[in-house]
Amino acid sequence: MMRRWLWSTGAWLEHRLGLKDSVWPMMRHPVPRGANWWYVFGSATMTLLIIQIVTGICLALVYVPSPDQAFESLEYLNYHQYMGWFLRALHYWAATGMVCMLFVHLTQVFLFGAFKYPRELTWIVGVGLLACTLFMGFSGQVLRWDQDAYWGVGVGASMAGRVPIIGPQVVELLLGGTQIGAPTLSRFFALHVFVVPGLLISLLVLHLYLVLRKGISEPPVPGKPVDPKTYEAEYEEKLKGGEPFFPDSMWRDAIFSFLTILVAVGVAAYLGPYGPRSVPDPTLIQANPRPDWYFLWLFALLALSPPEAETFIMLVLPVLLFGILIVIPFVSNTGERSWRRRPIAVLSVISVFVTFVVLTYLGFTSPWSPEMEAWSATTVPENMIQWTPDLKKPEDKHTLSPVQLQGAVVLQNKNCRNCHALDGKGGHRGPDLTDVATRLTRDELIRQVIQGGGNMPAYGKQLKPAEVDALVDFLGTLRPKDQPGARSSASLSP
Amino acid sequence: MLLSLLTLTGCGKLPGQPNPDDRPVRPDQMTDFRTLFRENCQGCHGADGRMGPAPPLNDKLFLTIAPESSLREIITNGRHGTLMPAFLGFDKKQADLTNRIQQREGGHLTDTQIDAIVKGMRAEWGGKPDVSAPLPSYLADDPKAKGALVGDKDNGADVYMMACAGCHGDNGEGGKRGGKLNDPAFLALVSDQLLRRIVITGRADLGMPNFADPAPAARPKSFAPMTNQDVADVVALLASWRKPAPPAPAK
Ligand code: HEC
Ligand code: HEC
Ligand code: HEC
Repeated sequence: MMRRWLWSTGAWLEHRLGLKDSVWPMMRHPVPRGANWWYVFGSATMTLLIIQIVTGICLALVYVPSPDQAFESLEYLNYHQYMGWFLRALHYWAATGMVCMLFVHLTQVFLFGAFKYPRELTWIVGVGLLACTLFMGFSGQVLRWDQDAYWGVGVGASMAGRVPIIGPQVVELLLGGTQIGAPTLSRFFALHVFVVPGLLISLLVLHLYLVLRKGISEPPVPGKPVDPKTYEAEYEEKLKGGEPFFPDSMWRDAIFSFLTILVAVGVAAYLGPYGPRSVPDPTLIQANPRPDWYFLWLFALLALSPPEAETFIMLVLPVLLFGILIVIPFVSNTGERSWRRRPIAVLSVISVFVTFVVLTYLGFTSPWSPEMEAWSATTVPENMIQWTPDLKKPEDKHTLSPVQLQGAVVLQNKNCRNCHALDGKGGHRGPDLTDVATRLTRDELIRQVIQGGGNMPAYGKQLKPAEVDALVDFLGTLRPKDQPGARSSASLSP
Repeated sequence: MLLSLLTLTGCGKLPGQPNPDDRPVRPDQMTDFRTLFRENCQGCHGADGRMGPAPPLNDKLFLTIAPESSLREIITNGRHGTLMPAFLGFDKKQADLTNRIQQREGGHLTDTQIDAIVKGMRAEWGGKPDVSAPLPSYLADDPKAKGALVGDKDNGADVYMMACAGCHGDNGEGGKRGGKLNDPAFLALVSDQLLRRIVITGRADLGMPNFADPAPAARPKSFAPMTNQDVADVVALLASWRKPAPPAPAK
């Protein structure tokens, strides 16, 4: 009875939808034999996108895109909503996974030469998907509306602002004004939730259509170059001996996607949501905004480059990078596909990867940013205040003299610690000063402090003569306690 | 896996679930004494309020004599002419993110936070000091003191020979047990109030005795605890060593 009813409903639907003639052949379309585990990354990226859409919709039910409530709604999700924190965590970690997977997919397609004739358009649409995905990550981090959001908005705005002629208008469109304010968050919300996802999904449909139409590229064989004259006929020939996509080939995608979901869920459950790192208030000067990890390289690049290079990095570099990606299939759309015969391709992948890792590491440790709190929060190591030169005579203690003690206070008070560490603690923008007296004499110390130099500001105008004296007296004691100072000219402890 | 995850959430907490205690607090809402001290003071006054280059605050004698109003005053406004910065002021105007590397004077605490620090120092580090002699007053112009406390440097020289010379040298030139006091840069950077306080409390963390400590190795047998007037006299002596303006350092 039940069975009959189901059957007739199914038949009714099929009569109208005609899936048997449209989708079924699509599922059963032949793919070349030998398509292997290297081909699963695209579908895994898509699986993560689906997680993003589902979790994103759930989050949007609670999130309030207004500056005074965005932060609170995230706190509500974190602490009050049942499993709200998990939604946030999954959305964050699946996004991370999606960016990773997308780059793996891109690298695989690039190394397998799958972008060559006749799949150039598939690749170009893929580049569009990459841009959309990166923008999603970028705008998503702005929605967290904590201190880090300001990095995103700031960089976004200064990129847009450098566009010739229409720059100011674009900035106003993006920020909803000339400055970061309440409308800014609504703009980014609209972009993150409606505009870019719409674009992304449309491009994805096109991408999939192209994949189906032009077929999955067969694994490359060294010594078998692509020739547009013969390629398609040869491909047809290969398909004759191919296997149906469903189920013979799809099971690999299914297993890998399932594993991907497991990992995303596990990481989300284990590591939890990221941020908000600090309360949202642009007037809090203690903050130290930094982007999510996949933009740390840009953060590092901007921090390390001279100010003159900024326009290049902000405006020319993105255009250049995406330009290169788009041009690739036109520059080399024939010839060898196997990476074994394409040393330049392999080398460029390696160098891009190494650059990315190095810059990301630098961005992560950011040794150039001063530690804003060190002057008042990082102590002068006790063994620099009072020490025992000879461990066998613990009662024989040496102590800084009163003026040297004041010198150490000057070091704190004038924010030197924000850039200089003692015993590794403090900022790392300038050299660690633990042993500075072994390198510089008293006169050299005075010169460095008064005139600055390198990346150090000159302190001549900000220090009273007595402060310079005390400071340099203290710096003169900074050496291993059994070694003389540089040329012994520094005045030493009692 | 998904199912087991769901059952897990039913019974216990997942490691990733955020802890409400870790949520970010606005820096101006933080009122925990230890955190405030760690972030704002220990750079100069030392971890746990001692063994720093600036005078120790973790000192029972100091906290007994120093009135709460003085503590609040110095934290709020700093001490003019010294390296103790002012801490009051959550200055919204300094918000320019790009210029944050630049100098800023002092800290950014609210009245409530300053109050929390003052109360916290007393609660954590206060107590009865181990001294039986009558305590000198913290301020030289203490209203409770009988008569004006004007230091006399000639009398101060006698007190100095008794109480200080054993370590800091007969003329403040420094010795094996105590550093140079007759140093223009040092005297230019510290206030008389600090000198007064150091004479009274010593520096327990660095081995300088307080006003009543007989310190047999450094002070003669005839040493008697210093009186309020003695303290003022020694400070007057040290102040008289100040040069009008120390010479500019050689370029
Ligand atoms: C904005 C960060 C910054 C601040 C603040 C700063 N410095 Fe420097 N400092 C540097 C840098 C960078 C160098 C390395 C300069 C070079 O490459 O020539 C340096 C070098 C030095 C050196 C030479 C170290 C060596 O090993 O050669 C001394 C000494 C020094 N600084 C002392 C100070 C003192 C004292 C202060 C505070 C009055 C101070 N610095 C404040 C960044 C800073
Ligand atoms: C940049 C270094 C520095 C920092 C940071 C600092 N102080 Fe001071 N503080 C000093 C110096 C130097 C003195 C002595 C001033 C003088 O010569 O009178 C002092 C004096 C004091 C005194 C008076 C002590 C006395 O003997 O009369 C108190 C109380 C005090 N500080 C509290 C604090 C508190 C609380 C904080 C944190 C909110 C703090 N200080 C942060 C340098 C600092
Ligand atoms: C037992 C030896 C001893 C005696 C006696 C002594 N001091 Fe000190 N004093 C020290 C030591 C140790 C220090 C720590 C700094 C140093 O090593 O110079 C110190 C530091 C000081 C400081 C600087 C404190 C600071 O935090 O910057 C002053 C001022 C001072 N003494 C004044 C005096 C005066 C005035 C007397 C006499 C009333 C005196 N001392 C007696 C040992 C002594």
